[in-house]
Amino acid sequence: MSGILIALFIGIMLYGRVPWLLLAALCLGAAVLITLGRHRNTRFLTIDVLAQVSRLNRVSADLKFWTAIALTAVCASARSPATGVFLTVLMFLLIVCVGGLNPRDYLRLLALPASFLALSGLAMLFEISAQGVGIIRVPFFGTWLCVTEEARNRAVIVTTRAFGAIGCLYMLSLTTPTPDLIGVLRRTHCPDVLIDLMYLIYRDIFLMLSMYRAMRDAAKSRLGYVNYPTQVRTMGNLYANLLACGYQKAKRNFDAMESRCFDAGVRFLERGTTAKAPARAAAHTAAAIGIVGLSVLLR
Amino acid sequence: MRELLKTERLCFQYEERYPALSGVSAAFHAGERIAVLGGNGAGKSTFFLCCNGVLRPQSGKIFWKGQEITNAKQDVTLLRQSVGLVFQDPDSQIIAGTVEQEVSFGPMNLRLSQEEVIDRVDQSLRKMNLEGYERRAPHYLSGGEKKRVSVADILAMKPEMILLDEPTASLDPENVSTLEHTLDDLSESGITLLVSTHDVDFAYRFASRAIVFSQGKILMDSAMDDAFASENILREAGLKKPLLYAAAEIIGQHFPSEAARRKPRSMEEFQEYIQQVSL
Repeated sequence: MSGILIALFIGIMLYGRVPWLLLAALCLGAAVLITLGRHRNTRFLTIDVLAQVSRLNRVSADLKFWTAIALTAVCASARSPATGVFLTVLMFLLIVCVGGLNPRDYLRLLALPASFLALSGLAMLFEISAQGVGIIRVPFFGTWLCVTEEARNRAVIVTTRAFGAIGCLYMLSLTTPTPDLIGVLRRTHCPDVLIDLMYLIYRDIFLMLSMYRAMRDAAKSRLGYVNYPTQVRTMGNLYANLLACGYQKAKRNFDAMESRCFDAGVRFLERGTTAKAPARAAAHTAAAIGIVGLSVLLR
Repeated sequence: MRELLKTERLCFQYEERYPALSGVSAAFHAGERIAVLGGNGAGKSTFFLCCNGVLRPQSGKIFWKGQEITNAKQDVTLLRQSVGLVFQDPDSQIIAGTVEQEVSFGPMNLRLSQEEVIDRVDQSLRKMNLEGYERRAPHYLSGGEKKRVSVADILAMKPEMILLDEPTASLDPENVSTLEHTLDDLSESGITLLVSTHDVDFAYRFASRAIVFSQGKILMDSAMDDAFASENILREAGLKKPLLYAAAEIIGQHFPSEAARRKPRSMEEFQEYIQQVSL
């Protein structure tokens, strides 16, 4: 479904701009790529696993964070589609070639936002009008569904901006493990209580998930999902049980924290935040200059 | 031997249940290896939580090196710092997103300098064979690795005494044997070890003193061999004799001799035992 959507979107965007054969090849190519990406089972929390093994995960999280934010801002304010396309390609190269991520995994992760963008792009392209105007006209219950050149240009800008921004954010999230990201937020003086909660919630997601999986499998093994009414009842019981177990687990967790002299505030060692300060400052300055240059060039 | 921890008539009751501890008195000395035995719900875990200062007993006293531990914050911190507690389930203990951060949690709470924290984290990771795991996420580690992380957590606080709650539960035989080696090393470095378990074979190999709990009370506090000599105590506490102990007992009954009195603790000792008895 998303393959068809994306093929349709690309087809309309490039209709009349490239030869027929090339257009057909591009549409087919995009559809196949996205379908390939969607074919493997999506596993929950894949991003976390991929970030752990990325070759870029040793690069300063501060650098990646601020670069991603700045580039997203550049991309969102761009007036030419070239910025978005350039950043999409650049981020693909960074994530896949430098970071060592399997291109198929990246494609799989892109499939969902891409189909969402294609859907919103299609909504932006078509307008209903009494007279058949524009590049493409489809009769629709006595009126016309039209695609005008103006709408097409607008859709191109919006989707390339969005795609570039997705690339930037994926660059950050696919190369930076969550604890590092929380560390960056701590250094930006985000309120401590939020930071503490982030650390604890990050860990608890995995605990709750493994508890949920164990309970779900236990229910499955006792035919808890045999038909729809049973399934609903099982789900209800399971979530109630999850709440109770989660509460008990949280109590034990707090005991364990107290036994290690926890008093106020969750504090962890952040190694290397002071060690290579000059190198980091240099990298940040270089990145800042690069981003400013890029934004001037591409606007 | 220097006395470290002493409890006097500790009583504790959870809101909803019968007393979890009723009048528990015991003293622990430097360098001892003690097994706390007892079935499920005997009060072992509650006793450990009291000894570490997480639970405050409703009555009774706790002394650390002769000093009474009051409700004052510095007293409780002293107790928590000096007596480390390794929880049964590493997942209830681990809170951080990376192994290094996890191990640094205790030292950071002690408000140590950054260098000292790094030093302690590195030392404990090395001691637990976790070098190279610094940036790994605990949720992707195996059960044995998580257990090692949970012990490293406590080592980083440099306690003089460590309480381990059911450390062998849910570990495979290889990990149990690794854990035993670690415990031997810790014991040799002078740390007092108090291990709660219902794995009598492990307890028999590991400890020299046994404390048997039943229904919140200490049934027996004696040398390891004596703990398994009394059938009544074992029955009341819901325990069984260690396999080697029982085997040696049977052999001793058939070939009564002086050599048959000393019971073997390990397979090697058992082989020697057989040779001596059969002479």
